[in-house]
Amino acid sequence: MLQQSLGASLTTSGGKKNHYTLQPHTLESLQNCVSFCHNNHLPLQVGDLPLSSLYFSEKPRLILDVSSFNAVHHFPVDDLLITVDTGMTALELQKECEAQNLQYPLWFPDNWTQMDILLSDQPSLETGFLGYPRDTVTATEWLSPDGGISHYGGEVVKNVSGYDLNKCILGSHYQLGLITRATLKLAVPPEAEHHYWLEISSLEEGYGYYQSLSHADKSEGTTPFSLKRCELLFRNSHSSPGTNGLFFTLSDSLDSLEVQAKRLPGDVLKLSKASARKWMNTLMKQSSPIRRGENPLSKTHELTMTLEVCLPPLKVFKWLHSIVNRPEIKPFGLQWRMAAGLIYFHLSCLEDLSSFPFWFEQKEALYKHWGGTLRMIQAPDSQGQLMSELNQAPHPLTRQLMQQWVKTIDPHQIFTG
Amino acid sequence: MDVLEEAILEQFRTAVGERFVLSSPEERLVYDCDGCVLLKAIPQAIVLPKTTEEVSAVVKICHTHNIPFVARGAGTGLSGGALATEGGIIIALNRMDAIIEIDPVSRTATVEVGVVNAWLNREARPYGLFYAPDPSSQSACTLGGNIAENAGGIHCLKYGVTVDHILGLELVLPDGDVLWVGSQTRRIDGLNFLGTIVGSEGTFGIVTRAVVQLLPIPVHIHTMLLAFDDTAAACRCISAIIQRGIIPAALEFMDAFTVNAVNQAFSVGFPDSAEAVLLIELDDKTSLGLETSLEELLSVVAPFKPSQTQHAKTEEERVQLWKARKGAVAAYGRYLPAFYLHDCVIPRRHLATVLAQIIAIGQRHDVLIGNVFHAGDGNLHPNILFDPDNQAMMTRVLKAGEEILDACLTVGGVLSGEHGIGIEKSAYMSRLFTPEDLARMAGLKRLFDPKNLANPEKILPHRSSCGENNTATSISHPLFTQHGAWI
Repeated sequence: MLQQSLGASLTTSGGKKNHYTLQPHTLESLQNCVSFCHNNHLPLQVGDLPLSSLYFSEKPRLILDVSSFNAVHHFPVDDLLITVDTGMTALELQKECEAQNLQYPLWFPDNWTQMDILLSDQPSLETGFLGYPRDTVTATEWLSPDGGISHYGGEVVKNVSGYDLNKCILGSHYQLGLITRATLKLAVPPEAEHHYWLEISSLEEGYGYYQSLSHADKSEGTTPFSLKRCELLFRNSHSSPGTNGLFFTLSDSLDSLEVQAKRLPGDVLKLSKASARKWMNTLMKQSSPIRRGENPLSKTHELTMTLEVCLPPLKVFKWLHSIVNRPEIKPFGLQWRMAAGLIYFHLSCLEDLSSFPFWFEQKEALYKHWGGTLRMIQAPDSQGQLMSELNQAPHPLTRQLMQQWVKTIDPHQIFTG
Repeated sequence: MDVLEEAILEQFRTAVGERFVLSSPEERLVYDCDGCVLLKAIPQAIVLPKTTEEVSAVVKICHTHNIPFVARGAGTGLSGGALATEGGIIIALNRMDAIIEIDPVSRTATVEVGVVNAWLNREARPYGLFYAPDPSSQSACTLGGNIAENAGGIHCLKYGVTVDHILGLELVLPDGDVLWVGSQTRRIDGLNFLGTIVGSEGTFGIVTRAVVQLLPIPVHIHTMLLAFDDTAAACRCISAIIQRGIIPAALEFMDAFTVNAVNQAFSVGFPDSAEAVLLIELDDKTSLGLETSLEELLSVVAPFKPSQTQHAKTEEERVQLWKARKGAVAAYGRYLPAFYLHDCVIPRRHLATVLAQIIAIGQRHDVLIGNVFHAGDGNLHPNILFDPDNQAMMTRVLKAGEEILDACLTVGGVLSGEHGIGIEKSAYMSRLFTPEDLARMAGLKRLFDPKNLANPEKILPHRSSCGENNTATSISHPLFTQHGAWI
């Protein structure tokens, strides 16, 4: 009866008790599903972002599968824009773009949906050079928890017409509803991309190498290194998650890349496209809350906890030095998205969750003294509530106002439980 | 609107000092309009606080007595956003003009909002850094005003508009409480209120401080002028440049009328016979990078057969080109004393069509229109010239403006790209947004400002905050239709 009235198919979900998946096929049935949950105060999990306590809860709930919403609605190639349904995966989007010799500037793993990417404002490996997902959006269609639809923005690259509610919903982690459609900015792909790997033995060595790559253009007449990605990986013990090395991508014309390649040190390993893709998948899945079950570290290091710190890029090294020897975070694996100032700490927390208070303190210190941010990306199931608390905005009044806005939009907390 | 009660003025004087409360008719008259001279409203008083604490104290008094307040910087806004249209006071932030810190390591500056845009650039230059948003009024406009309107400028095609450069800000809420959003990074903690407050035109409260991002000054720059005998060819050329993936630092358009105006005003020697002129600036961190981009750009441009290509060979020549561009609006003063400037943005692919429509609209209503705009962004700036003393002309100007907006909305454009909605375009909001969209915006306004005291009646059409909707089919804002003295 439920299936019929909502116009969506309903199946039990992944063997979990009391969890059912709804798969609507039209916007109307999607609205019906959301309204139904709103009217009956039923929790509704959408996407795969474990950033609310709902995700970790054993309460009965419906799970919304938006994979049927993956159509291209408008593709004005001349304006380098595309409007798509947000159930579209990263792979589907790139295929559409490639057919027109264009690309979405940020790379994400194939099966991630635009909805998860946009609603988490997930930094990509290119973020330090090309921005966040929110920077690529010019318009959204917003389905609010009561089933209402609203629209903001247009196929224009500049817009101050009214309040920019796009900014508010992008990165809102489903707290304000769903983005069902988005207009995205595209780019012309570079002629070629070459990927490299360099073994490092210390943080200093990796940082020094990055500096030499990014400042090489200081000598006049030298072809600059056209960095597109640069991720430093470091672990402070053999039992820590991760490895030691620097993964980087140069993107430019073939001629220019050949010139650049000659200036790289001899011990740099050039990676094949397939091998680089594996690295990119791993690096993204380790540093994102999206599709938590696919994080390679969860498989090799059970109960891994991942924290994201963001600092002005040139302050990162100093901050890292102030923290790497703290006992609370040993052993750790580190992933440093250098141009973006993003650091991901992977901790094998096992049963020891004593570092939680430490991270609350660090969040405060980062906010007050370093101008940085901190959030938890992955945590053990039992720590969902604590994780939600840690991820709130640090200023109390700001936090209060945000909570009030969420409550206004989603009074029955169907998305946040 | 009458002056405020003496008892309330006294409270303001206690908060900020006697000298910094202005209430005489002459003093109030100075604040009766901003850069949009079509619209005027005399405030009941002007208060000039020096610190966030003083702003908070002033706002608390307003909250207690239900007095509307409007924050104001240099008053260079072009949408009537800094007018006290509902009475109340103007809180002028010009005394809050400290650059608190420039941090070259973080590449950030912490500033009070009364700092003039150009001052920040002057102070950042010794560190090899600059603040990217560069509205034409940058020598006068304040950062607070830039934040309120989400200002753009010539170089925002490559570098982004104000919201892309604001990392954190301090906001005095309409009840006087002070909050902080953002950090010194572009990562957002919690909901992105920062991105929504920027561009909210002072309707959520008063921004008093901001952390702004600074960028390394590009070392290698090339500026050039391309003249075309055909406007449509110039427009197609713009699309081709963007489509090739070349992002110039600036890509500006001037029509024949504007070219003549700047030639007369500044003797810059732009090609007189050209139907359209493009000013293009490329920059890069290396000379090799710049050479590559220039080569590619010229190959894209060639098929459109520009009638003249002029490269700035020296810094002086470059400055001269930009002086002419930035002074274009002033040059219109040679024809008529005032202008009504629109700011719609359209999908770039429609540039040629909409420009042709604008020309036709000008001819139909017998008004002079100069087009000088940010072509790379599709951000049009039709300037409709007028004589404020000629009522018949005013009627034609308003009608032409309305038709231009409609032409832009018809092709999927939006009302404003960088000047904001203010009071001037609020009546048009219901043409762009549905009642549901507007109700959502009104809900956000209520969250920050339940008593509707912070710059009331701006952005949202009248009564939309109560779920009603202005369905006007012509300019219906009372400022346009009542009290001839307003215009």
